[in-house]
Amino acid sequence: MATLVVEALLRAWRVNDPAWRLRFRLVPVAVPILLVPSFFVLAPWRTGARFASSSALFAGERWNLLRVGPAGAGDLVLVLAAGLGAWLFLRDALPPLVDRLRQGPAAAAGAWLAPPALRVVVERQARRLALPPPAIRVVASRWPAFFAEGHAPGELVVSPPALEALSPPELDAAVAHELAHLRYGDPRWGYALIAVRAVNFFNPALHWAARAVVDEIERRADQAVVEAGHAPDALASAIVKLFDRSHPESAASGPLLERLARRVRRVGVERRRERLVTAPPSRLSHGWLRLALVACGLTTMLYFVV
Amino acid sequence: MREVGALLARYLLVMGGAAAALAAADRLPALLSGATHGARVYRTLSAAESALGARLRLPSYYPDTLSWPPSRIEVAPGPPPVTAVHVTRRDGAREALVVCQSIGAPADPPRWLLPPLEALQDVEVEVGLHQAGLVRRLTPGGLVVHDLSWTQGERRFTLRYEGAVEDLLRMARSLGGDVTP
Repeated sequence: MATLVVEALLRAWRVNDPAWRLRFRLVPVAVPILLVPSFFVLAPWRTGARFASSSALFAGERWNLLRVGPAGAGDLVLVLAAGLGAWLFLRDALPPLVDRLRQGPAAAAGAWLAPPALRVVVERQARRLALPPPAIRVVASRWPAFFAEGHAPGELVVSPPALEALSPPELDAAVAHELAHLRYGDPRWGYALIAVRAVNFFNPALHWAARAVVDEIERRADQAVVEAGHAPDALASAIVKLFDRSHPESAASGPLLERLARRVRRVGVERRRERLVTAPPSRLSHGWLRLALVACGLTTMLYFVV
Repeated sequence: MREVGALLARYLLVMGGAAAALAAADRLPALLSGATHGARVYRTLSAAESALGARLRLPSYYPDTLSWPPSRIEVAPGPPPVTAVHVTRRDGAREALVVCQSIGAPADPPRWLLPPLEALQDVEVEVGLHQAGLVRRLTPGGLVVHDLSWTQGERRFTLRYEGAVEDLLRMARSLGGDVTP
């Protein structure tokens, strides 16, 4: 519900400033890790049957009035949601872990030398963004890898297929994008989100909210690249190329959920490309007032949801 | 100022819409099951008693074929509130006993709590000091069940049981209160 409310408000208020969008998106992520435990400690009466029967705006247990075989519909939905949540978490968390285990310590230490041309691009872009140049690690992978790790100066991780796929302007833009992530300390946000998701692995809504946060982090880095004077077209084309090569259509011929997940992400990439080539975002007025309204409104509403 | 007004108006619209959606989702199960809004299902007797603010009176005798604790406890909000405690067979095959009781005033269980069944035979029996109606009924699936109903102080009890009448009467007489076992 918190994720839906924030989504609706972002649309109703036409918020397109990436930094503010990110702040709003963090509110639904904070709900299960801050708000729900606070309710348990500060308002223990909420968990009592009396509160649910007399004061709650929505009580999930009421759905147990509907029976599906021997189980109540409310309990059944909870179990199915937990299964969906676990699947969403594992499909994001397991592949990188398996990759790392398969590659072994040699790849983790950087088995390949960075091409000198890439080093030049990285140093040029780092100067442009007034950042220290990050280390470069080339990993042996058959899939395109292009991401930043650590905090500035940090580390740029690339794979040969990614370098082969990008034209020189696209490579410039992609490097600038990853440097922007390092400037904002985004890799640390990534680790924090994975930790929150691991603790709440059974909560599909949280995975959705976390995915939305990641999208906003990407949007903020995209915006930083455009503000640094890069052609939006080059970055947009780099994003589409890297996605299509790392998620080929042929690889998505598996289970329905996998195909659906690929399609959803492909739509997201297309939206991101469109955003880059259309008008730049406008500044948001009364940002803190809006954020306070969202936080207070959700706290009040969710107090009455059990 | 106008900008803040527009901002607040859209905020109230979204939050109001969300609250209305939650309230509608809360009412939907009652609507679909034909129950009264506010009806709830509890997993434990203590949760139901805590919500009602009253102790439920239940038989102290159960045939060995029944399992304990109850599979679920449904509460119709009333007034007066009426509860239905569902007990399944020990082999888990199906529900064999429903103990309904109104709290605070005599009332029959609503139709959604104890669905009406075709009556085959109707006799009067004694449950302790009280006259009770014993009705032999037929379920749509062809099973024969017995309903035993009587009023005891401010409560009206109805026990629906699929099994021997002797066991049903013994359970009813073990309910306690002013009943002589």
